[in-house]
Amino acid sequence: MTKTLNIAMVSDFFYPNVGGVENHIYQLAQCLLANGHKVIIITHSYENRIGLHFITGMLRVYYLPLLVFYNQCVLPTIIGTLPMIRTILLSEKIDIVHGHSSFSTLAHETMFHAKTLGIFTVFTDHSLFGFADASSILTNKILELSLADVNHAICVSHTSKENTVLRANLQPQNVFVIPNAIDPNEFSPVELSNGDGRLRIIVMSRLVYRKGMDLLAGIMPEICQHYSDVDFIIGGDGPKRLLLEETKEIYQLHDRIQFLGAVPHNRVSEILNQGDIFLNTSLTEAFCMSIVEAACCGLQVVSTSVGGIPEVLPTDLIHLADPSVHSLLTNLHKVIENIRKGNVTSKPEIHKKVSRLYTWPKVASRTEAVYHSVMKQRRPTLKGRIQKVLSCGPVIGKLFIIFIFLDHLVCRILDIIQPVKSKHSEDITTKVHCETHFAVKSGKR
Amino acid sequence: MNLRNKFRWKRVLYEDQSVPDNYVDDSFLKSRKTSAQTYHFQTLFVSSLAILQQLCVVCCFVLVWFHMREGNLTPMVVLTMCISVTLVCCFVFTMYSNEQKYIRFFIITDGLKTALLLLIYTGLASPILQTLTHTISTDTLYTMTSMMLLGHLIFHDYGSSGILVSQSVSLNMAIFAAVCLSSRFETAFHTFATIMMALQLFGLWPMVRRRIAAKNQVVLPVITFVLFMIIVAVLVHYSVVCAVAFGCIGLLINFIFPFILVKLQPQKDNIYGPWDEAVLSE
Repeated sequence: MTKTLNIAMVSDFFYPNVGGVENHIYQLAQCLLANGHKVIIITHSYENRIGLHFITGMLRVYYLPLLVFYNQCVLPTIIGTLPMIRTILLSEKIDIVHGHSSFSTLAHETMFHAKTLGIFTVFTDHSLFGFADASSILTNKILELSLADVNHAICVSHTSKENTVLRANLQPQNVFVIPNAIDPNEFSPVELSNGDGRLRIIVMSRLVYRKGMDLLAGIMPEICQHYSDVDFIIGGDGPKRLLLEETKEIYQLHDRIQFLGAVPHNRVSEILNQGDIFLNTSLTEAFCMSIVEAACCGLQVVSTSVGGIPEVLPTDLIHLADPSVHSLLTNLHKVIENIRKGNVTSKPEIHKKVSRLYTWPKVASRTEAVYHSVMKQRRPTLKGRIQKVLSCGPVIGKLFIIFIFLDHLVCRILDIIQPVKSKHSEDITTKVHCETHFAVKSGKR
Repeated sequence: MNLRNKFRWKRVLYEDQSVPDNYVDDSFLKSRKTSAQTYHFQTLFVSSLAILQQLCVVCCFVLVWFHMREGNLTPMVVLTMCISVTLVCCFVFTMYSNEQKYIRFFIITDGLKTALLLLIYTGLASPILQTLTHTISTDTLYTMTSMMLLGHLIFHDYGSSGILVSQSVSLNMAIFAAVCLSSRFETAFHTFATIMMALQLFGLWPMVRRRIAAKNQVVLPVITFVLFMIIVAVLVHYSVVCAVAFGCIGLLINFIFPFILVKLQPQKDNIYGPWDEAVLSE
């Protein structure tokens, strides 16, 4: 089982962009490297960051010069990226292509080419989708086509698995659940000596509708009026900041509510340590890293019970509420009273419990198990692909077959005019930029 | 399956349940619902009456214009009709309002002031309006009018929200159509009457209709039916084909389309589950 593999992680989202997916890819790649595998990362270029870059642990990142057109995703060209990606995959002798995020066009395209080249594919889905609106219908169909012949899919929670199985019409046995993780050392409680007896409620998220900022706007004045010694610290930025600032103005809560704006990830634990209660008001969430981070810092967590959130923390570490102002308030009152009475587990104890739950080495070893299971399967063939894609739909399936044929054809032509000699990693003499002091800092805050 | 006897699988991530990561429990996908919204024919019928009604109003406008052009109706008659209908509308509007008596008085005087202003301005502007599109050929004007009236029907607010619904766009299109048509008259008084009629039919009446619909369920269907019958009768007088076509449209809008929707709705399969975005009730 200890065979080392050559793995290519692909996503549009990577450093210098920041967020949950970026962090996931980086951490997973580092752990797999540590386990002796060869890992490369393929993403699109960011500003002047083009070509092959080396980052921490000699992790190789290919920044491809592609046109970004919407939300950090590259323009879908179906076969336009083939020459570049084929050269990388073949010269690096890649065994498994691992795509991340269903929004990433680059991930889908690379997986598409990988199947043409007979390389195994694994896909990790990080998000939840509905089924009702037009954009979901379109995205879900694309996902179904892309995942029709994927070897294995990974989801971050059971809810996310159900969602992906329905969206992409997959066999549930082929979908693995591997949660996200955090670095517990980064999030440890620090006793601050500002014992002024005031309680602080921390909110850390992008200030957007989907994160339930309208609920927060209803909660803040109620809590501030009810308790004279409970304050809010709000980290993050976004379009709903206006609403929250307005609430602050209307209720004259200037000394009670503090806005920090966008917070870099390395300051998150510092801010979490200033508080006693963490409030999450998301309306939908596949996994929710921020509540794990907060609990790891020893905070009391109050959260809406949506998406995968009820699966994440044991019931004694989280207070789940319905997504309504009333329910969240009831829970907050309960928690505040418990803290006042000293009726809560101490911060270091909570940290001890949480720090064991989600760690990157665990995620890496579970992902390795998926890779090994993939390696036992049969290599993707043209015939098998066509059969699977045909089952996706009477019209779109046939249309997609044309693209598959085209991809194979262009691939054959490239084999003749542009043969790839696979080289060992040591031979690479390309001009590279070494960045030894690099760390992906996550958190779209 | 023998695993199931040993322990009960929990839908959690924080515990190592010693099952492979691709384990599929019996509870998998149990929490999803596939129910789509169901409709009742009766409510659909009542809602679609608004569409038929607006169609009738548009037809009414075109027919009156046509008769004026033929010389069967003098502008004076049309204007008198307009003013009397406006007064009735005004009365009904205030009668159905929730306001107290003294406020109602203000609403009436306010409304009359607006009406007077519109009357004066339209009167002053009608010689200009009459010649505004005079040089444009009649065919072009008819096409433009048809497009604008169609647009008016598409953008009109029938009581549901949507991207296409825009009261101002709809009203502007109707007034534009009225300006187009009014240039085919010989005198400015004709133009004046046409514009006033358009303002009354497309501006005032939808407001009154909404107020009535909120208070009384019976009056509107009756009005729609009477209007529909009158238009069919007038149309028969000129062209049986037109009358039959109009009748068919009425039948389609009010009976056949709602019926199809009710019949096909159970076929719709929408999936709901814990992954859906929570809906805020407050």
